[in-house]
Amino acid sequence: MSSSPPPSSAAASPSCPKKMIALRSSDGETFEIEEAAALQSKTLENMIDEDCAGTPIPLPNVTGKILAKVVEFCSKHAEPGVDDESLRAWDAEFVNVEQATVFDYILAANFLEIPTLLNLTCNVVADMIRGKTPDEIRKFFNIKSIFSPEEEEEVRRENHWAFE
Amino acid sequence: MADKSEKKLRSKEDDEVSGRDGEAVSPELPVGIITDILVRLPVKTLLRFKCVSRPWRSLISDPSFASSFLARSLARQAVTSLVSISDLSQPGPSLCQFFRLDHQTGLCAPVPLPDMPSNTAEISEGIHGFICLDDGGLTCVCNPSTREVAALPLTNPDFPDDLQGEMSSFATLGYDSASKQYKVLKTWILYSPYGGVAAAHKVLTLGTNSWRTVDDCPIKFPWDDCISEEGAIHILTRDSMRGNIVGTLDLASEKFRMLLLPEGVRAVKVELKLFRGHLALLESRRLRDNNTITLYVLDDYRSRAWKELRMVLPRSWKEDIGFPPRSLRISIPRNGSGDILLIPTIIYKQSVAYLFSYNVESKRVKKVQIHGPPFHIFYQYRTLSLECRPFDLVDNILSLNHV
Repeated sequence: MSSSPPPSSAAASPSCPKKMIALRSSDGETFEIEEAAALQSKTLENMIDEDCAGTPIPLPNVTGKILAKVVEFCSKHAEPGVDDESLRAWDAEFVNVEQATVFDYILAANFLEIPTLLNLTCNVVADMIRGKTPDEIRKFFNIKSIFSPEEEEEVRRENHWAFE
Repeated sequence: MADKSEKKLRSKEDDEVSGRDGEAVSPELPVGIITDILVRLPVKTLLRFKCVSRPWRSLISDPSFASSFLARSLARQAVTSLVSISDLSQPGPSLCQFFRLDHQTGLCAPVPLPDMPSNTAEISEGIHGFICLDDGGLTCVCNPSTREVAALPLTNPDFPDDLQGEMSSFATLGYDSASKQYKVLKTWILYSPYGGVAAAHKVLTLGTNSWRTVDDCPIKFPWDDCISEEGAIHILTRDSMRGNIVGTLDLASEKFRMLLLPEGVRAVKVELKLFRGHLALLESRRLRDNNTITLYVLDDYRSRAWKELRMVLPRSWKEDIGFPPRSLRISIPRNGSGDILLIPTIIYKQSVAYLFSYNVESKRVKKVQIHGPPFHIFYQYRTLSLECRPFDLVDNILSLNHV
């Protein structure tokens, strides 16, 4: 595994060049990730600059199960020499999981600010919901608040062609 | 990025817990992420999803959501055009229908729009997908994406009462990027029987009720053509003293500037286009015989210098189609691939129509047959020919009621 040179950001500390970063999940599991892969996450990028001591970075919002997959994603996307088509195919397999897991990925990507993962997972959910009826959407997102029948009728009437 | 929401700690077992129906329970997504997902969906789906819940309706109707949605539309490469097809052979009001024309497949699918107030309205391409219709009295704005048509408040040119004669009007829609508002420009030209010409111009900000008079407008003749770009509306017209001009309305200041056409180029012989972000004059009269398209491109408004760009299509482009195309309208979609599209102006019943696509770099022409179910709706009028006109198609969810 090749490692990339450290980034030349202003906040980088040259006195402790790190190659592996340690992360701790909400349920106490520890994971190691290459610095280049960790930099896919803006959150981690900021944290790495601040901390040189080598203690694992705690991520209370991400469970071990999900963090393992996020590490896998970031590592794959930091790999040099992967062509676009293979990466796309790999991504498609990566998100070929059940809905609850995709949502977990989204929340992790949002918390860790990983634009590539967030974009990928949002596209997946958009594709999942595109053809659904409003009722199916409510079930999908567990939405409780709804309209009164009169309000819903008004919305349907405003854009009736969309319901045909 | 969306705001980070508080999430309670979950143990490993929680992830494996299933609902009664055997499916795992999905976590709730914060509103910022819902927005990020919804903005990727087509307009029709989003309009349907307005009735999911009050927060969703509010989110989808919000102008800032429409703004993000539009930014994504404009960043995508356009592969379809909006086309109006009219039956002009009938006396009186003509039947005009709209279609989406796919540049790659040639497929023409109907876009049913609410009945326009008048079928004799002049249609002008606005901006951001909006089109503007004017029939002399009433001016309307239409968003083909949401299939909405909104009539603008009525107004008159305020010519002096003793000024009588034949009058024509022109209108188009532009976008003022400074104030983030849409504005409509309307011009009236009155021909007095004694030979004089009078002009009046007004501007309306969409969403408001009153028209403002525009002073010091150099336009005193009918519009030969018009085009909107971000922040300005350009009008191609003639001027009795200076010859042929482009009058540009800066939408922020609502003041006009004027630009002369290149030597020897006449307003009636060219069309206004945007070519790679620059204002350009398109001359296509020698297309059929000499396979030539000429563009005069304005690199920089301040320099006022037009650069001539001549494109010669390969001679074979019009072979194998059985007859020389009588006339073609040239379309340069703003967010297109950069290809120049040639769309037949007249489509004849009983014959095949083609869409041509010319790539400026490779100088190659691709030909695609235009087909689609709806032409038959015109045939009940025993029509022999239909007039076809292309417009930029931009997906835009902004409701004309929330502008």
